[in-house]
Amino acid sequence: MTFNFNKVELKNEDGQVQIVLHIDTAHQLEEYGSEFNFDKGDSLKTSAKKFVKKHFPKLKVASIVVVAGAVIMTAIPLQKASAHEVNFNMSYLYFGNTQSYISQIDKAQGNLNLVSPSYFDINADGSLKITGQFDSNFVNAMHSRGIKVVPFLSNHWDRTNGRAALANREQLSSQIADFIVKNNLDGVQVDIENTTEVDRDAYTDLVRLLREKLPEGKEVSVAVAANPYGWTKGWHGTYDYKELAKYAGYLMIMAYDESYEGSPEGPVASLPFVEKSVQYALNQGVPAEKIVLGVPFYGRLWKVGGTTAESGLGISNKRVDELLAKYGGTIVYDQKSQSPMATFTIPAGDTTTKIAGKTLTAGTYHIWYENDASLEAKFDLLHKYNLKGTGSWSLGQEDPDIWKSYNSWTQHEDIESTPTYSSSTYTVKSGDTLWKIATNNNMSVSELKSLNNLTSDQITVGQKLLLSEPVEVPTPQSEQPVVIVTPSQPTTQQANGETYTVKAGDTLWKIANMFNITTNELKEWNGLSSDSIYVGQVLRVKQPSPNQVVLNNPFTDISHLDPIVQGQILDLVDKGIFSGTSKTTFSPSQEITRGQVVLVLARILLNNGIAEIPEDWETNQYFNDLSPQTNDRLLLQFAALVKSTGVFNGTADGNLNPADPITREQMALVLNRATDVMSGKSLVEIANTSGKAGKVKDLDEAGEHAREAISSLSALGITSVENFNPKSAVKRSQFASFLSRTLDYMASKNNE
Amino acid sequence: MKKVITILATILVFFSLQPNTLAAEDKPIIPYFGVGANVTEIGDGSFVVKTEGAKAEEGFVFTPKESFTSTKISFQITLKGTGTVLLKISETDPRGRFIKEKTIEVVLTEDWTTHVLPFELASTISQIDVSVVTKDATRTEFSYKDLKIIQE
Repeated sequence: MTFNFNKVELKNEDGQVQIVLHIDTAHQLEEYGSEFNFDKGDSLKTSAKKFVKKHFPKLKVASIVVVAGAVIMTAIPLQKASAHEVNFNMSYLYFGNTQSYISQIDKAQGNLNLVSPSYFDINADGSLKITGQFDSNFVNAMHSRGIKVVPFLSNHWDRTNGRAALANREQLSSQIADFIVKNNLDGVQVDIENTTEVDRDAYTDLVRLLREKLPEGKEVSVAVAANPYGWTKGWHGTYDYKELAKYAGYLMIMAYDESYEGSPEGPVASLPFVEKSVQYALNQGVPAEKIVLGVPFYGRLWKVGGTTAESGLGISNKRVDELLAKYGGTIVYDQKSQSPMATFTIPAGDTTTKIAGKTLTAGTYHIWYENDASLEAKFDLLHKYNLKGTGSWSLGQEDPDIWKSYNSWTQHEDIESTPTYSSSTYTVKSGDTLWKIATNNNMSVSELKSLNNLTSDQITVGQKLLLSEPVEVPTPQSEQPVVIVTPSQPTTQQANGETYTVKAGDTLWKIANMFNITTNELKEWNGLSSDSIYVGQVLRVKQPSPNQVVLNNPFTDISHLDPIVQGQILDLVDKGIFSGTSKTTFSPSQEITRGQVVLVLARILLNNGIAEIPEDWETNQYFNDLSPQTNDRLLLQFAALVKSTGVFNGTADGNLNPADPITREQMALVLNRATDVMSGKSLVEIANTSGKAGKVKDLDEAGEHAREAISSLSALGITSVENFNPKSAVKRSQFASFLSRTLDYMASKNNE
Repeated sequence: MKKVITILATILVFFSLQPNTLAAEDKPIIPYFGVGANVTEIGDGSFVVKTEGAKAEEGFVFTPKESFTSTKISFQITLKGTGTVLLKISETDPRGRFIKEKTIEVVLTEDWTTHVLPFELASTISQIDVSVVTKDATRTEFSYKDLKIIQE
């Protein structure tokens, strides 16, 4: 039999996501009883698993609990959600020299454990050609850093050259093995490209020969074409994944160049393209631990209405920000491909920009590239499929800031519960049209309009549109089910009163009354043309303010965030409290440092005239590790301010440790103290007065001195989680959100 | 005098050997690759292909380097031997993605016979492979010469 679940709860249990499914007691207990008595509990388990798989396909769930009333019917443990960690990251070295490579590798902050330089080319007769890039000093420099050097063997896309190598594979493999051993290299990666299915057997045989001739400790790996559609001919037919995996330590899937030079405009590596490529490898029988996911550190640029020669020019990710800073422009984060697309216009007469050696002429350009959000989405696949690691093409093209986040992406620190509607809705961004959204989601405009009850083509920035039918929880009764997302999602959205998530039994009239607005306002702010709403729908219940419009967003890396969090960030930036990590980046995934928090809190105090910088800031040493002679004069001033006001006391040994990440319990403490300085009442005092209790369950993991502050954040609704993880670091976006909610809370208290 | 003669002789030997040596070094690498077969050049500009017979479609493959100015092309080759072979053109896009292929069967004879396989490219920026391969898995031998890619 199939069980029907009429209520779902997502819980955070010890950092793991647990789903609690409620079955209707009145209708199903008797049926369950018979199941139980006849030991057919598996049917219930199967139903529960199917239900979770269907409705929460993207959620890493640690366990499912089925409840009937107050009775726990069954508990189903699943995989540990956070068990997978990646500790293999390689990158290719192609554009540069020994000096620049070492500099680039050092900027990677220890995230790389293998580099692959371009040392091995192929002569016309198929013999090994050592390139001018080879430098034994570089090899030694890498080894002293604990980084392996595995050159790649390349035919540079020359099919005939590649075939010459394969035809000469016996001699070539011996030459490569000899060179590696003699020069203390760590192996070879075969990267012969553009051969075809007729070369398949010879290709595999070259890899076999290399494995046979190289000592055991030396690596043999293969860079393989991404094959999301299972093509068997052309370049893609070259690679016999399964056979190659027998001899290679790993296959590095070149999951990029989905769009390429001369091709129609599009992402370099859309998430579906990348994921299907991984699935193909797994389906071919390649063990997950032998799959390395290739990630692009570059984008491609198309001139709107341009020629083929102006289509798909390669551009490093770091240059995208430069172009936007120079010309201005907009960023759209395409949800379907999980890729950012920048638009900018070069004015007539401007011939100052060159890309790939070509001068860009006047006109409008689109760049599909990678940012934190798109890379993080790809890194999620590492954990989803338990892959070995990452391989990036190529080092030096990345925005150096990504290295600050790289480790957290590979360690999969974020386990986020995803509300069921997230995969089937789209938030309208600047520049969107119904046609564009419909096309991007394989729908017609009329389907999109019908699904969203739209009577006109007008949509507004921030409006959420349904892309598929709302999730319908099967239930024996006709009433709407309730979906409750307990830990991280709902109250963060509602704490500042901006939005409301529709619940069973809600009507527009009821919600409008709840927020003292009219139904017409509610409909207008949400682009609703009918009275129809659905459970889980997020409605804006406050008139959108201009600074929440994404149009004014100067950052290229926050558009993937929840619109509310985007608004909070932009609001804080607009008020001069927060600043980006560059003119065009906010780096939302980076851990915020104690020094950055000092700057932010000091600006609040200064901007509101609450405190002033102490006169002795240049002479009195407020923190032991911050000398009055430091070059960072701003930090020196602001540190003096926060110390003198008691907002920031420093560590027990009197240090500020400005470069260290701030922990969540430290954040709770400083927010508590900052509130005290701002309003004369700390968060703890306000919470105590209100009589509200916090619901944080892991207070015992926090230092005693921080527990009250954490509880007060919970009691006042500034945080909604039960597991606060007090020792964890805080991302910049998270801190912005916490701070924004705290300030909003203070403002609402002042208005009472 | 003897020393002078010896030097002159040495110089003469050097000059007489040098062109041959250079010729050997400059000699272009044969761009025909065996597919389950060995390809050997014969002095008269023809080549002999000996297949292993392990599977069907063994023979040789060639990738022209020249770019195309027309989408209408032909693969022309002169063949002799026994049995049936396939003439094939296979087209991929600039990123190596397979687009299409065209094949014709040719019954070989002991006399040199010229065969033509016309082909319409999807784009002038495409890459092609041309090949002559066995129809079935068979150990055989055939010869070819005068391989040309003709653009209209």
